[in-house]
Amino acid sequence: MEKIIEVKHLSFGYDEDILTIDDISFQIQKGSYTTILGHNGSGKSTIAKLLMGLLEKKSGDIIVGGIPLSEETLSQVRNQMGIVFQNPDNQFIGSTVRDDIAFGLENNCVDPALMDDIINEYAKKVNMYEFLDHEPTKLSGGQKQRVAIAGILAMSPSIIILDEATSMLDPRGKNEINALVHQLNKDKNMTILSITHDIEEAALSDYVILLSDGHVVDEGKPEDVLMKKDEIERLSLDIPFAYKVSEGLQKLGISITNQIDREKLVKELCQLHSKK
Amino acid sequence: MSITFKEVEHTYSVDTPFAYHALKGVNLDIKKGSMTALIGHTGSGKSTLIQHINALLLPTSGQVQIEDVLITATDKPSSLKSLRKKAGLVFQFPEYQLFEETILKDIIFGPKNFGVSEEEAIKIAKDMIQLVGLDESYLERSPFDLSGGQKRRIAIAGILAMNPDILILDEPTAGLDPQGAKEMLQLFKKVNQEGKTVVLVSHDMNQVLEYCDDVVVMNHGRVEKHVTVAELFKETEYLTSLSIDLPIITSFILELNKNGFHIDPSIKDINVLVQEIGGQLNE
Amino acid sequence: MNNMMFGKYIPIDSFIHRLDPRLKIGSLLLLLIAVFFDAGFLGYALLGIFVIIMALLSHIKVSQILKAIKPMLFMMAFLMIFNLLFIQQGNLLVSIGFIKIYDQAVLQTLYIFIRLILIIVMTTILTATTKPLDLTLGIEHLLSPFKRIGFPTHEVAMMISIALRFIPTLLEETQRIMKAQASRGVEFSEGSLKEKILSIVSLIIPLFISAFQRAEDLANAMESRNYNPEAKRTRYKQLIWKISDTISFACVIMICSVLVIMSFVL
Repeated sequence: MEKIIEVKHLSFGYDEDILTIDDISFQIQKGSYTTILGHNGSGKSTIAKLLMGLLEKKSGDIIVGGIPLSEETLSQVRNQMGIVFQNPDNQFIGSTVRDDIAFGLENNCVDPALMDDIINEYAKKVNMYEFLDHEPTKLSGGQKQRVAIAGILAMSPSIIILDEATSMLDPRGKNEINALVHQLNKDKNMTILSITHDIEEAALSDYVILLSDGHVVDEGKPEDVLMKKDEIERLSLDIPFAYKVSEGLQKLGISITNQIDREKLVKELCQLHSKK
Repeated sequence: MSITFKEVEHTYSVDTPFAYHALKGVNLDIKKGSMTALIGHTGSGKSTLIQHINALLLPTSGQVQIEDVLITATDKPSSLKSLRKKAGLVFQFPEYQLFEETILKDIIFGPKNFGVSEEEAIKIAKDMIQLVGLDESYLERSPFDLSGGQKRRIAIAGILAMNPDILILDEPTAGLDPQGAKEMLQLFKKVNQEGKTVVLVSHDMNQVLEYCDDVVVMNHGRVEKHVTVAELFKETEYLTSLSIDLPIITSFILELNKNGFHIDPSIKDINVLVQEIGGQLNE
Repeated sequence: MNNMMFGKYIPIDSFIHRLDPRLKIGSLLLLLIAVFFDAGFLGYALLGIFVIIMALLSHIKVSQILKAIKPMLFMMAFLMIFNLLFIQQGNLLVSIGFIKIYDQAVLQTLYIFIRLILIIVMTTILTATTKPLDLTLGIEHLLSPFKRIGFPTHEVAMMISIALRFIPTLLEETQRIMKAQASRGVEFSEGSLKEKILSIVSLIIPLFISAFQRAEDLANAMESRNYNPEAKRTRYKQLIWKISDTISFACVIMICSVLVIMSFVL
C-alpha cells in the first residue's frame, strides 16, 4: 500500500496557548476510504482545514502525494485534493450549476473552449446534467452537495475530503451522497477522507482515526477500533448497532463473533438459526 | 384535543406567478400531552404546517384550533399573540436567533415580551438553564462564546422559558453529535412527560421510533397518515414508496425474519431484541 | 418579497435577451444621458416609441413592466407634487388659497414624469433581459480599461456576482429570523419606539452573525478550489460581439444623436 497523505507531529491552536490540534500523526493510504471520527469540538474539522492549507499550522508536517505543504507548494497540494464542506449553501459560488462547476476550472486557467465538455461530463457523473441551468435556490441540499462534488471532480484530484458533508442533509440527500462517494472510491480508486460522527458510516470504511480533544486516541481497522466499547462511549460516540446486538448475545451464552457490520451479523445469525 | 386542523389550505403568494399550494385540505387532531412526530420529505409541507400552530402563517382557507383559540383566514395576527406563547416554536438551527449580550438576557427576552416581570423571568431562566443541562454560572456569559451545541440549548431554554403548553421542534438535533442529540431528545421527552404536547419534525426514524407516540406523515402538502409509531413501521412498502428509511432496529428484524426468525417488528429496545433472538436460537 | 419585479431577470428568449451585455449596459448609459436633454414632446415621443419597440422585442409582458413601476409610484408622486407647487413660472392656472399652480410647472412636472417612466422602463428592460452573471461580466469588461490605473476590476466584478448570488439566500434568512423572533413574542410592526429598536436589534444581530459565518465558509470554499484574486484566471462565459450588436448600437447612437440635436435646434 502506498501512502498519499502523511501528517507528522501536527499542532495548531486558534489561540496562543490552547492547542486545538496537539501533536497529531497519521497516514492515509492511497485509494482507501478513511474516516476521522470524533464528537463535536474534537478538532476534526480543523484537521480538514489544515490539510487544505486554509489554516496555518503551528508545527509539524503535512505531506500530500509526496509534496510537503508550504506557502510555495500550496496550489500543488490543493490541486490533489477537493473538499466538500458541511453547509451546502455556503459553498455554492456560481449563480447556476454550470457556473459553479466552471469556477474551479477558471481558477486553474483551463481553456474556456474545453470547459463545456468537462462541465457536461462531471454533471452527468453526479446526475445533475438536467439541472445545469438551475439556480442554487431551486436545488435541494443533496443536489447542491452533488454539484460541489462535480466541481471538485472537474479539477481531477486524487483525494476527496468530506467535512461532515452529509450532516445537514435529509436522509434522501445523505443516501445520494454516500452512494456517490462509495462509487467514486470503488470505481475511480479515489481516496476518500470522511470527517464525521456517524459511527455506522465509519463501520463501513477501511480505516478509522479516532479523535478526541485534539489527540488521536486510536486508529486502525473499524472492526478493531469500534469494538472498544468503553473508549467509544467515553468519547460521546455511539456503539455500532451490530456490536450492541452481538455483544448482548454473547452474554446470553450464544457463540457468535463480535460484529460491527449488520449484514454480516444477519448472515451469521441466520446460519445459526438454520443449523438448529 | 390540543391541536386541530380542519380542511386547512395554504397557498403562498396567492394571485402571482409564484403561487405555491403548500397545504391541501389538511385535517389533523393532535392529542393533548402526546409526543407526535411529523415526517415527510423536504417540501412536503411540514414546515408550513407547524407555522400554522403558532399563527406565523394563517390558513388560506379552513380553520386551525389550538386549545381554545380558533384561527381562520381572516383573523388578524395581532389578536393571536397569545398563541405565540401557548405554542413555542423552535426553528431549525435555533442558535441563530440568539442576539443578547448575556445568556440571561436572551433567555428572559421571550417571557418579558409576553408580560412576565423581570424578576419572575430571571427566576425562570435559572430553572431553564439547568433543565437544558448547563449551570447558573453560564447566565452572565455571552452566548457567542459557546459551542454550537451549547448555543442551541440556550435557544431552546429561551423558548421553554415562555412556558408554552405546546412545544414544536423543527429538526432539533440536526448537526449534533450522537451524545448531544440523545441528551436533547431526552430533554424533550422529559418536558413531554411533565404534560406538554410535543410536536417533533424529524428525518431520523430511529428517533421517531424511540421517543414518539404518534406519527403524522406528510406528502405533497397532504397528511397521508396519522397513526401510532408501531403501526407506521409495519407499513414497510408504503415507507419504501416514499423512500423513507426504516429505523435500523426495524430493518434488522425484518432481515432476520426473512431468513427464518419470527421476531415482533415493533420491538424498539435493543435489549428486548437481544433476548428475543437469544430465545429463538436456544429453543 | 417575491412580488418585487424591479431588477429581476425574466428567463425567456428574445432578440434583446441575446444581445451582448456590454452593448446593453453601454446603450442604457447613453440613453439615460439622452433622456436629460430637453428635446420637447416630439423628442420624448421619439424616445418613447423606441423604448416601446425595445420592450416589444424583449417579449416582456406589459403587466411585468407595470409591476416594476409600481413600487416607484409613491416616490414619483411625491416628486411631482413638490414640483407642481414650487415652480412658479409662466401663467397662473389655478389659485386656491396659498396653492398656486402655473402652466410651466404643469409642463415641467409632466416632463419629469415622462423621464422617470422612461428611466424605469429602460432599466427594467436591461435587468429583465440580462442574467445577473452576464451583467457582471459586461461591467467587468467595460471597466477593464481602468485596470491599468490600478482599479481592481476583477475583484469588483467578483464582489457583485457573489452579492447577487447571496441576495435570495439572505432574504430567506431574514424571513426565517423574523419568524423565529416573532415566535418569541416580537412584533415587528407594533410597539413603542424602544420596543421597535429592540425588535430590529433582534433581527440585525443574528443576520450579521450568520452573514459573517457564510462569508467565512465561502472564503474557505473558494480558496479550496484554488481561487486567488491576484492570479490569472480564464473565464467560462465568453462575450461574443455579433453583427446584431453592432447594428443595435448604431441605432442607439442614432437615436441619441437625434435627441441631442433636437434639444439644441428646438
